[in-house]
Amino acid sequence: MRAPGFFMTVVIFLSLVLSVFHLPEDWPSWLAFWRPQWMVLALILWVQRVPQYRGALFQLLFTKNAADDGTTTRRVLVCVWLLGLYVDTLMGEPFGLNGAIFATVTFYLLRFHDRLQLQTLFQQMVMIFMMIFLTEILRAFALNTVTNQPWDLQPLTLAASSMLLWPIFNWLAQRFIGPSRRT
Amino acid sequence: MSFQANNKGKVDRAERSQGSLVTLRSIILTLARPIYSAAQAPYDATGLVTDISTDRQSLLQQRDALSAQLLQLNQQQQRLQYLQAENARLRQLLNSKAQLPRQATIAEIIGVPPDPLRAAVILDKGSDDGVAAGDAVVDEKGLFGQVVTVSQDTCWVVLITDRDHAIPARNNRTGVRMIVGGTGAYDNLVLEDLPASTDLLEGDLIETSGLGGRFPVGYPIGKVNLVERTQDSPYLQATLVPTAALLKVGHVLIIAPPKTDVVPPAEAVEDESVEDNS
Repeated sequence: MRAPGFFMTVVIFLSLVLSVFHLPEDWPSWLAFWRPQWMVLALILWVQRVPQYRGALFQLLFTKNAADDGTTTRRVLVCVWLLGLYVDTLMGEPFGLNGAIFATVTFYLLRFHDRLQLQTLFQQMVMIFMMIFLTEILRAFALNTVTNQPWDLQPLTLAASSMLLWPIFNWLAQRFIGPSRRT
Repeated sequence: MSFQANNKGKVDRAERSQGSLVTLRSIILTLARPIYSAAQAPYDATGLVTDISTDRQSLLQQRDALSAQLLQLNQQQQRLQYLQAENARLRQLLNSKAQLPRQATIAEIIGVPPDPLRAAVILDKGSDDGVAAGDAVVDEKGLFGQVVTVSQDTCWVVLITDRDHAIPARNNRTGVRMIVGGTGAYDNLVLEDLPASTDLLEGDLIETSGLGGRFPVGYPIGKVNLVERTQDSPYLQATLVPTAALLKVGHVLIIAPPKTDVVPPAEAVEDESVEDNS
């Protein structure tokens, strides 16, 4: 694996920028309903490879001793939850909403890491569709409760566009930091 | 009376417990400024390219148009000063308080949430420039929104078309008080709970009434485009089109409330004792 820390920092920064990027006013407005969930995709990319990271900074921040997976999982969950607070403020959403979403996704990916490694690209895409669909329903439910936002088809459209973007994310990661599977 | 006092105590406590979260949000929002700037960078770059490639001829034309407009505005301003002085004198005669001047800050829109269901924008002015939550925001054509979250150098503004937003308003033609609510659509506001007998016509200008003290009085909100009276409803259905250009990205004005006198300490002490009893 080649310098995953630098690559992931760039990916997460670009995802943050893209998730607040708005289209020009004269573009068709329906395009906004198909914006991918950049942050969740970047997070999946990072968490997929967490058990393989051996970098000094990662060891310092996320591991107590080499064999302790529990500590790493807990620290990663706290870390993504704090990132969620940042995204909440960035997007002007209720505090803790993105933290809960990120922590849920991360927990699932870490808990079933070994099983998910066997998936083909197509199976990964289906998994990402389901995952983003469910988290968007959670978001829509929270926003409906807190800010009176109506229900619409966004959970489906956002999940579909994110799913279609996953092969590109995956290809970039393979190209720059190597495969996610243990070989 | 005691019921009100009890409730006030509860509200105060709720506000205080939310205070730390508001501070945390404002600190994180300060850290978020680079992300907004980076997301806005492509638009700034296209603006720069347009600036560079504009030729001399069109710049001269633009300058002529602007100086003509300035002349017109200056002439209106002279008239305004006279009217303001007259207004102050008349208010003095009636023994009513003069309207205090409000401070306006020019701000630029640096971000728009990409979610089409959210009616909000992010501005490049914050608490360092004297902006506070609750300040009104207007553009050159009418009321735009109000500030909800403030950091050191940015603030979030909820637009008047937000589903949760409502404005105390009045009809410019008749003076009738009403409440204008947002619908979530950029080109549509709704007049809430008006009796069917209200004098309201299509084309009426609705402006802020200044009640509640949050929005300054007399800013245009929108023009009525639909009035419907049905036999079976005691209320009329009316919608208006906002006058402000809510979809554009550019400059807006943040209007702070007038500086009022400090609350006398006796009142504050009374509030504290009421809260202790409750």
